[in-house]
Amino acid sequence: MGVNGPGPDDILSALEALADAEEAPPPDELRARVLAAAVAERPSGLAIDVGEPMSPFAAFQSQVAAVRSVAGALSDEDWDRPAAPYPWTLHELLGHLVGVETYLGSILGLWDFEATAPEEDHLAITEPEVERQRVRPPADTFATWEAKVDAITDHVASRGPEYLTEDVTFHTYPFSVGSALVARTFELWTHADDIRRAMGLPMEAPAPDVLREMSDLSVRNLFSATIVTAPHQCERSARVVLTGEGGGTWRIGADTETPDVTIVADAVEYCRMVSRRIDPEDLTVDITGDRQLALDLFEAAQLLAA
Amino acid sequence: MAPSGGAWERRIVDRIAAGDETALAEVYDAYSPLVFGLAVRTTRDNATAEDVTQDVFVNLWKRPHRFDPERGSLRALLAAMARNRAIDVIRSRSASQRREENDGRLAAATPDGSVEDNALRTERSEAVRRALAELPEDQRTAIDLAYFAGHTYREVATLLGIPEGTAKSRLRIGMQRLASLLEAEGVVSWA
Repeated sequence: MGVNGPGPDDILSALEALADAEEAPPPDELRARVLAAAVAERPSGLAIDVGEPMSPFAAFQSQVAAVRSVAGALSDEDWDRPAAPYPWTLHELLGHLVGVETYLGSILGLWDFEATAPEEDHLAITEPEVERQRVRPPADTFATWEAKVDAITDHVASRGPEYLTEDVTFHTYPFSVGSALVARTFELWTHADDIRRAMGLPMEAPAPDVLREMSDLSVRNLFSATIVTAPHQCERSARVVLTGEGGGTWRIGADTETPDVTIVADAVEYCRMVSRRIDPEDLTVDITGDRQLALDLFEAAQLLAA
Repeated sequence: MAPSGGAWERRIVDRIAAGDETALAEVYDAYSPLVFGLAVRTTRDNATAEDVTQDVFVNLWKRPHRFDPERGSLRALLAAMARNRAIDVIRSRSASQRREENDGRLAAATPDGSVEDNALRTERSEAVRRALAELPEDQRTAIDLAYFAGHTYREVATLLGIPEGTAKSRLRIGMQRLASLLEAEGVVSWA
């Protein structure tokens, strides 16, 4: 209390107390009316800061630019820095990306790709390219990566928006061209952050629209992935709420009256967990319902990350 | 007991921003008695109070970032939204319509009867009532007109037939006195 008696904050507290004294239960039927009016204004599941869905191609291009920017600033000495969590240097990490772009370009029909490892093994199929690039100057590896990703970008741009809905097989899983580009967006963002981490730079979250595309791809496919990782869970249901910029709310799995589990996590943290940069045990998360189902879904989320 | 606390409020508003309608339902369940009660007290009309209640929660759903935990609690924000919206509604009525509605509906202003005969629901409510009753009548009347009926100090002065400076003084001194009484009752406390 102020020296001369109650101050402004004290009076605000008094006003709060006055408000408390006036509580009265509303009619029961008002609840449904209020909730219906609310979702009429903003649909359930739509986060507050996300506008029209972003093109998967635009999302891909945004993270191509991110890698180009952060890798393009590396000095000769920087390329020898370790690229945690891999047993690679940053040079070898970029060699891996050359391999991935070569693989992606092959499934888009741009060129051939000889898989010397099982196609579902994202890391193993790029090992030959990592070996080839290891003995080249880093600047040449970077130029090769740029040439390949630019060729992919030009190809997709030339085919128009309908191309994004065409079916492809990506690491043995059925994808659309668009969803494959979003999966690549996920990877490029992750590796851009790997480079930043190696350089002691702050991590960066993608723009909300890009993050939303990545989150959406991951969450919508959680139960599909459980067919591989936890088949006994694939008939269950979940509500996933990703908070913060680019987040959203998804109701996935079986059409049950109430979800078997509700998972609430920060959108950026969730995506870092998906890309195996945060362990599920270290994810800040609120779980209501079947906790084991949540853990199985996290494992499923990491299925395509390497 | 309704959930409470800063961490819960921040989390629930984050969920609302993420489009989780079950979070809005939780906030409604926790705070609709507060919002509806204030709306009834101010508008003196149950149907209008329902509309005000709907407006408050829909606006929270549309603009969750209005909640800033650094500036106060979610409870306080919703109370302020309820009061402001209710005042907007009653100010849109003509003065004559307001007098007519006050005369005709004052007795049925709340679910339980007249305003002055409201059933006391909680110990906190009783303490606030006792504190209000201890105020001098002129200060109590001024606070009732300003806070609950939504009049400006100028309107309070006009309604009571007193100078504007006197109205401001009664409100200021009355609120200060009320704050002291509530602290003595243990209803509120401050560092």
